[in-house]
Amino acid sequence: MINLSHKEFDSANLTSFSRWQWKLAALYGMLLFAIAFFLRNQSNLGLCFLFLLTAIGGLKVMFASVESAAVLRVNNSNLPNAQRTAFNVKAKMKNIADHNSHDLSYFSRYLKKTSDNLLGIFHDQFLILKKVEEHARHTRSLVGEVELRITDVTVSSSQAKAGADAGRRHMTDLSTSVLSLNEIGELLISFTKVLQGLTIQMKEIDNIVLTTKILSLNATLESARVGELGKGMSVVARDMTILSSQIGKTSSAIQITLKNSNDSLFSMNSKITNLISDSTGLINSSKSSLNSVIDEIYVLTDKISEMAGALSSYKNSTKQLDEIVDDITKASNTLGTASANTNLVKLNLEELSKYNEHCHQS
Amino acid sequence: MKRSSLKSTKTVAKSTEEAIFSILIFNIQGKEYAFPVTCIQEIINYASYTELPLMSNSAHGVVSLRGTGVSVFDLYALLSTKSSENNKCSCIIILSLNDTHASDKKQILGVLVDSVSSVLEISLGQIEEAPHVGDKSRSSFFSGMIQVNGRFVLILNEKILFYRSQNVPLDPEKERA
Repeated sequence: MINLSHKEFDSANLTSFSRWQWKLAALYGMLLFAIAFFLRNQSNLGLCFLFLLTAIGGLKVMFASVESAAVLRVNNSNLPNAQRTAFNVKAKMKNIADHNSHDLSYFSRYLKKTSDNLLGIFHDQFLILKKVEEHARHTRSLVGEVELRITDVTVSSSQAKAGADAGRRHMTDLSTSVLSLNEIGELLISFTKVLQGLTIQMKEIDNIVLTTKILSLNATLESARVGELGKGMSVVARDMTILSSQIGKTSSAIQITLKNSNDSLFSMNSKITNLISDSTGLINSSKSSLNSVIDEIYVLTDKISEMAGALSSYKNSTKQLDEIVDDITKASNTLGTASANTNLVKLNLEELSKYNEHCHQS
Repeated sequence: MKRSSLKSTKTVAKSTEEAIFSILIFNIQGKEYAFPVTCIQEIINYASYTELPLMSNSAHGVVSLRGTGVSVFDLYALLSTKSSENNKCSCIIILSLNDTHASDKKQILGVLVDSVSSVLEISLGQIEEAPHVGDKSRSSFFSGMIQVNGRFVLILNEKILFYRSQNVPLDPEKERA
């Protein structure tokens, strides 16, 4: 690699002046003097003076160049080699500059396109992220509402559970009451049996009364048959008849009372039996219904728990989604920064390309 | 003479009317009837009986009276040709009737009644003649009727009933005699 300063490069250029170029310069000076002389003869002194000054200036520059060339010639005996090397370097530099310029231009265009694409992507991503954020916010509010509802339903379910358990206890109490009622019914049945036994005994009393009556009537008949002698016996027999009749009436009254009591007891027992039967049926059906309800409540509670678990998982997922959105936002910001950097690189490259062009032109 | 006989006849008639005798009042299908106690031996409870073959509708069966078989007739069937329904108060009145063939012999038979009420002492003067309604043979069943507490009680003719139970043809004139 050959590193040349501008000054060295210019002096190297000066050495490129050839002899015929010197001669051409001298000819150019003389021509200018001749024009000035001609213009003096033509009395155009202004233009003559201008051409004269130009010729003097050109000659002055020419002499300065000749002086420099003489100095260079004196100081660098191997100027031709340096000149060749400088030309080679110049050619190479030109090639490099051409290549660089082309590459830089291409790279700059590519970077511009990339930057534009990145900006577009960044814009789309920004819009998507906005939507995702909006959805996440909406989902969070929905999840909050569902959580509240689930909490309410859980509380209601707990209350329903407690109510169902209380209902079950009441059912058990009711069953116990029905059992007590059953015992009362059985007591009534035994009481009815006692009354029936009493009725049978009253019938026995009736038979005894009838027998007594017949006996007294027989005695009356005998006394009547005897005549006057049987008067006393007749009186006794009559009293006996009256007594048996009274006993019979009392027995009949007791029997009627017993029958009424028995009928009442039987009716009461039938009603209690029907009541027990109906109550037992109702209790059984209520029990089965209550059990079904309780089972359903338990199933519902389990489902609610599952829902709560699923919601919790969903909440965690939402949190993770938020984190992902944050990460994407950060990545997007980074991308934005990268895009800005790319822009800067693009500008630098453009500047470099211009400088390269300038160099190339130089 | 005439006067005295008339007086004696009147006295006899008066004494006959004032003669006291007893009747047993009983019920059949809600109606009250009576038998003179002279023809009644005793009253027994309605007990299990033995049916006999080829019995008439009015014959009820045979019951044991202290070891002796006694034929029992359904009095309601005898009076109305319909069988009565027994109840818990049903009883059998054992009648002791003079045998028509041998006066020293007694015919014992029982009649089934719904219930027996009482023994009533009445005088002959209280007995009214049974009403003649239609067939005389039917009215010959009754020897008379009396009023007890505003109700009429028919006094049954036990002999006619006996003939009737034995399916003997009735001769109203003979019966009346």
